[in-house]
Amino acid sequence: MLNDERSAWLEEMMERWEESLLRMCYAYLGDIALAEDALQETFLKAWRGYASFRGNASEKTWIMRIAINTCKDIRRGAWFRHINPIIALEQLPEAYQPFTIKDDAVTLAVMRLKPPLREVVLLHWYQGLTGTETAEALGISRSTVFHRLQKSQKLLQIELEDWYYEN
Amino acid sequence: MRIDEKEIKDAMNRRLSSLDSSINRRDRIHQLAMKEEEPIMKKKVTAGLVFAIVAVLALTGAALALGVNLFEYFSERDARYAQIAPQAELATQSPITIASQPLGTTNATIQNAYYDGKSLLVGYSIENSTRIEAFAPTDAQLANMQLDDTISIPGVDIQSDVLTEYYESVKNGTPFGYVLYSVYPSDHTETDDGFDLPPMTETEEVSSSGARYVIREYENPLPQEVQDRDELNIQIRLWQSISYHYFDGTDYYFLTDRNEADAMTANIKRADEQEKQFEGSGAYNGIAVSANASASSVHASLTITGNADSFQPLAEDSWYYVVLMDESGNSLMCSGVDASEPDTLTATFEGTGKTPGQLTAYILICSEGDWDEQAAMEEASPIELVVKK
Repeated sequence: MLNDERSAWLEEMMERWEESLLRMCYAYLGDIALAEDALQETFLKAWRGYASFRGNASEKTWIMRIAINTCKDIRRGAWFRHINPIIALEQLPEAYQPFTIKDDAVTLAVMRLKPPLREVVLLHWYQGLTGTETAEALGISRSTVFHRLQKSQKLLQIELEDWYYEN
Repeated sequence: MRIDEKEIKDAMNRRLSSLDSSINRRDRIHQLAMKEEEPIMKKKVTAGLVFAIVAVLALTGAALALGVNLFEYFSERDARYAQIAPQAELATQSPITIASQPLGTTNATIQNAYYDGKSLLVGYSIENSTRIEAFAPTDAQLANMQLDDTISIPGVDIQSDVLTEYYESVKNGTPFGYVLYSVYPSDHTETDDGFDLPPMTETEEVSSSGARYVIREYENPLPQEVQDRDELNIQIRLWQSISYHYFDGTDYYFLTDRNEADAMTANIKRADEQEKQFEGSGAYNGIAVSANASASSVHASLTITGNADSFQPLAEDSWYYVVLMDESGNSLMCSGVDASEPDTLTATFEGTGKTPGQLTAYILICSEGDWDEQAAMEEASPIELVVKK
């Protein structure tokens, strides 16, 4: 593999996935600096693992698996601090797109889910992986993915009741 | 009404739109890749004691607001906690007081814990764990700080005018900095004989008085080596950290360091509630199956065994779903199902807070979209399980 080809591939990967991965890592970790670390680590792992990637899985599933596992590693790490998502969201730089209070509530509710539920919500609902791809990315069964989604659905409905049941 | 998945995605994208792509970031990653350098984890940097960390004095046995049962405190969030709260009382608590110049007095203790031989949940509190102040480095101090590539947000729960001013300064391009002092717990929980208990999740709340209340749950079942003991002696180390952040009007700088402060400890007696073993049989799709389960007040696992045709692979939009009920008709919340083997289906559940005396399982097949659980239940055959003799 020529280095310039590999280099171009990395550029394309970053162009395609940088934004959604950064947001997913932030929603999982609740901290910009950690999300930046996770994003950087994800692309560097992809760079190192390019040879093993080819032909083995869809690019999206592969990069999402790397990203979510990197986030999980950081979360397990000794330096991870447990984040209050309300404060974390308040401290984000000013959003480029206008958002409503409801957008804030939805994001907050997702960030408040327990990690096993947050993982499947972020991969399946936010990133659009299929149930099978989500299962592959997390190393769990497809049934488990859907169970967690159902549980998340119930919890989000409780958390967001005012928005979804009174409007 | 079902929450729309696209709506969630769109809402998150609008709310998180400030997190967007950056040519500088991509260039940096590209350069690192080309150099095959290991990435730098900013929070792992130990840059030496440019700024001396204040001495830490750990005093055990100091007074702390005892008597808060955190399982009761969090009972509205998780019904299991309400049920096991009485059994989570510790015979003795070992509060820690950490006295330091920047923070004053920080109190920490393991308030409550539940251990039934297979499961462990620990509730702890830390009072007065953070303080933030404005900070302007001298030239010598700034020279020892590291250049950061993005704005830094404290990884602790704190609201402060100093932070507000910092973000305003960044927005306006004017210099400002802050220093954050914090005491926080390790993610590791160690037994007195050296086992590191794997955490699974935490539920946390910051009280109006600034105390952090946390329930930490561990993987279930616990590692074999720490199962079925009469008591567990655990410790969670506490770290004291000091981190400096400065924006000079153009660039971001940081320096962080930490040292071990003390450890929260607890002696946890095994609860009276014990895990029970269940067995039973029934039929699924007309094929005889046998079932075995173990269940406690906080956790249950179920294995159903049939023959090579019992649990066939399903279409992409379908999956196996298991409903497990106790003798009172309360459903145990399913946390995972594995039907990767055609003759075996396994499932794990959260308990209800009470150890069941009898179990009934239903195997259902769900599909994406509209699905009527009640109708599926009515068509399914119950698999009855009773306590093993």
